[in-house]
Amino acid sequence: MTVKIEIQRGSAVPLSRRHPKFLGQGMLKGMEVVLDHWFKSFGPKLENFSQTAGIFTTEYPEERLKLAEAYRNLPILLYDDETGQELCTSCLQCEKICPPQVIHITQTKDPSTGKLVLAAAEFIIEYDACMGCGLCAEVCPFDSIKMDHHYELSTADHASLTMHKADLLRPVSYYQSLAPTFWEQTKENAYKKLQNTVKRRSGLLGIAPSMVGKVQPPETKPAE
Amino acid sequence: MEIVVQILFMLISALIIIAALMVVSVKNIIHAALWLFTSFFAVGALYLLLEAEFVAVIQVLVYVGAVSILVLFAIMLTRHVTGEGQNQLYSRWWLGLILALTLFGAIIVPTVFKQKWNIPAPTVVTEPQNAEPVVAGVADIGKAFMREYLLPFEVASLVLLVALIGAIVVVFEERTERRVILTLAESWALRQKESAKVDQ
Amino acid sequence: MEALINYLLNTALNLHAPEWVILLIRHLLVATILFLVVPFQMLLLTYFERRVIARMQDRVGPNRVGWEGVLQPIADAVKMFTKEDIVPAAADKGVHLLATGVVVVPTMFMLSVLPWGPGMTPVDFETSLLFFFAISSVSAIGLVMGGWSGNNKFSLLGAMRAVAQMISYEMPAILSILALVLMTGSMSISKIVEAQGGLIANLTDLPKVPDLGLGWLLFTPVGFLAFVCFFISALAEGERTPFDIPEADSEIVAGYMTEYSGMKFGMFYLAQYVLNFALCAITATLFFGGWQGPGVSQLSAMGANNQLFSILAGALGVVYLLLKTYFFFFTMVWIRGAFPRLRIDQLMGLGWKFLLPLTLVNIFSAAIWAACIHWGPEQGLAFLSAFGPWKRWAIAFLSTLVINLLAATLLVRINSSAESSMPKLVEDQKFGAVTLP
Repeated sequence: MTVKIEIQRGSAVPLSRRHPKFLGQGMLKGMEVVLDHWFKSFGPKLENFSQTAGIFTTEYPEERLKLAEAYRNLPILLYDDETGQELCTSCLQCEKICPPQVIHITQTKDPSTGKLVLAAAEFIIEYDACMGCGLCAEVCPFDSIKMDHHYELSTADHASLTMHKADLLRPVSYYQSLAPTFWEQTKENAYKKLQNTVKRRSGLLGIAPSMVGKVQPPETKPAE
Repeated sequence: MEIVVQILFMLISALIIIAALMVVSVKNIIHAALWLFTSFFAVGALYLLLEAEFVAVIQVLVYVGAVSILVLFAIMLTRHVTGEGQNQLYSRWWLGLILALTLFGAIIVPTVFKQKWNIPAPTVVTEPQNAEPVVAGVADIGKAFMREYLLPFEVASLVLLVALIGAIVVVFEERTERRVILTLAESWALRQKESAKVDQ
Repeated sequence: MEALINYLLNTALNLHAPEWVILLIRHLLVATILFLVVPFQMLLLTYFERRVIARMQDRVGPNRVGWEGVLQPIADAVKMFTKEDIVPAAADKGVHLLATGVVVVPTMFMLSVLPWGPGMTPVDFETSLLFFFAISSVSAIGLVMGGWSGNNKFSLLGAMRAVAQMISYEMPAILSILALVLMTGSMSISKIVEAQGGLIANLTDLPKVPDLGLGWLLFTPVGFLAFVCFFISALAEGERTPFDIPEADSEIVAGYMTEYSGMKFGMFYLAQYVLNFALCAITATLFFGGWQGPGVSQLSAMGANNQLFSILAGALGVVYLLLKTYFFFFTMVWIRGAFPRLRIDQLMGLGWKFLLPLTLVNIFSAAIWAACIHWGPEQGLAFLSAFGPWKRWAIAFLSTLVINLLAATLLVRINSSAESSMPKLVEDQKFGAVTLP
């Protein structure tokens, strides 16, 4: 919806000011306002933006603004807390949609059969070139890629910004703490699809590297 | 103390002479102007050495502070500031030199030969311990201006006034010819006024 | 101080140093102290200004380096020192370098004639007040040199503006000071300060007034008008915000400082802050009694018996002077926080059409003040000596008050009516209607 505003250029709105009682009254008033702000700046901090006086600076390293749930920085991968199973099936949707082409996925092959398994062997995102558009998270049918809230990524080591799978994986509970309502909406769908995926994995394939050894691999072999 | 004063005098007068020579010999006019201010400033220092504080301060205030700035302003309006490729001397410079030397000689030679140079050695006056040193202060200068030299003072001020009026006449611009771009609020106020006149 | 050096050299070390050596050592010592004080003050002032203006704009200001950011100026200085010094290829290199010195040195000279405390004037002579303003005008040459040598149109424009402003505001400043010279009958800053003891009325006007160090010249109509005119002119001379046209960053980058970098830029910055400090200090000295304050004169009177008390008096005087100076610097920052920049024609109009006539009238009323207080039958005003000092003071106060008020209102009338008679509307001011999406 666009609003059309007609503005007649060349017309000014007259403000009725009281006639000054003495010379420099307006200037003194202005100085009074400034001094008032100066005094109030020593008082309590500004709590909301409807207040007009008081310091509203957020002193960053010590104080941080609360981020909105929909805030997005750069993408991460999720795995299940209990079973350690990654949600990603290496369907390559994100790799294809990524505008700057910074996602690189290697699919897993079962070493015994040589067939593809629904899990990513390697998952690389070049954080240095990622533009944080969030299309990968939008497109992911398994709710595996989500956008992180962590933004303090500056480093002197350029190479460290190429994030491998182990760097990208986060437990589901981490994402839940970031965006509880969003996770609530997609939770059911995500777990349903994860169960289907797990049925078609075997052994330690598709289990987050950090969780290997902590969880039991699923015993049943996927049905042929 | 005497030696110190003499050394200072030598240094300052050397600076004045060098600076004055640089004024006429340097090609860049801005540099020439800067050397001129150096010379002015050194003259101020010379006044201070003579314990004429007031004159020294006025020298700094008027010559270094005001005149020099006007000189700089005037120079910046000229075109060939750097003066590269320009000749410092005209082809008939020797004529000017001869003229200047003749005039200088005509003044100095009779003085040198006619003056009787038997100056007595200055008698050392032992002043009483508590006597105020006799130096013309501000008050004395003011009194002199307002009493003995009132007529020259007034004439000088009249000349300045004439110059001031002349400057105003030269640069004065008729108010109706002035083109002012108004702000929105000003033009609004003006229109209000005009419409009020029409209503009447 | 000379006695102390004399004792150290001739009595303790037995060197037989002549008088001029002692004088030289004394002046060198004082100069060293001044040169140490000045950069320190500058560091303090930049920090002070940044914190105060930040608070006025609802910000915090620099508070990271050291406790509450007090070491910020030192960090800035380190940054300045380590920055690359860039000189434009087309610049006049000698003049470019010299300009920094020509700007800084006069501001340092200005501090040498200020009375920092009772009997604590580094160089005290009869025309020190005039010297203060004469030497401050020298730095204008430095500005022109800096602006011209950079071979940059913005720096040249800035220099032109700076000089035009400095010259036109030196007039009202000196004229308003001249009124004080007439009132106190002296051109020495230390004597003007000494004359400001007393309470409301100062000691030279009413000798019987209790000496609380509060007989400031501000409390007379002449002094008050002079103070207002002088402070406005001081703002313009120090290029403080309502008059910071020479370095208007939104118009001409940084004015005459555009082509300077690193420590050369730092020198200009230093000169500016030292100039501001000196102007604040001279305002405090001339109109607000300088080191005068309750207790100073009593302490120095006790100092005749005990050396400790005179040291205490000196310390108290310095504290009073610095407090007043910092109050004025705060006012400068306060004005910076409150007002936008003037246009150059408004600046010139204010200086030449309003302040200059006002200060001239003020000199007239100062003459009346001096006549009412000091003159008698010698000058042909025998009827005045019939009144007591209180009556004479009251007559002077009332007559100058009336004259100054009349002059001020008249000038305001004239100037505001000149502004309201606007020229005819130019045709290109009429805009058509536009539609915004």
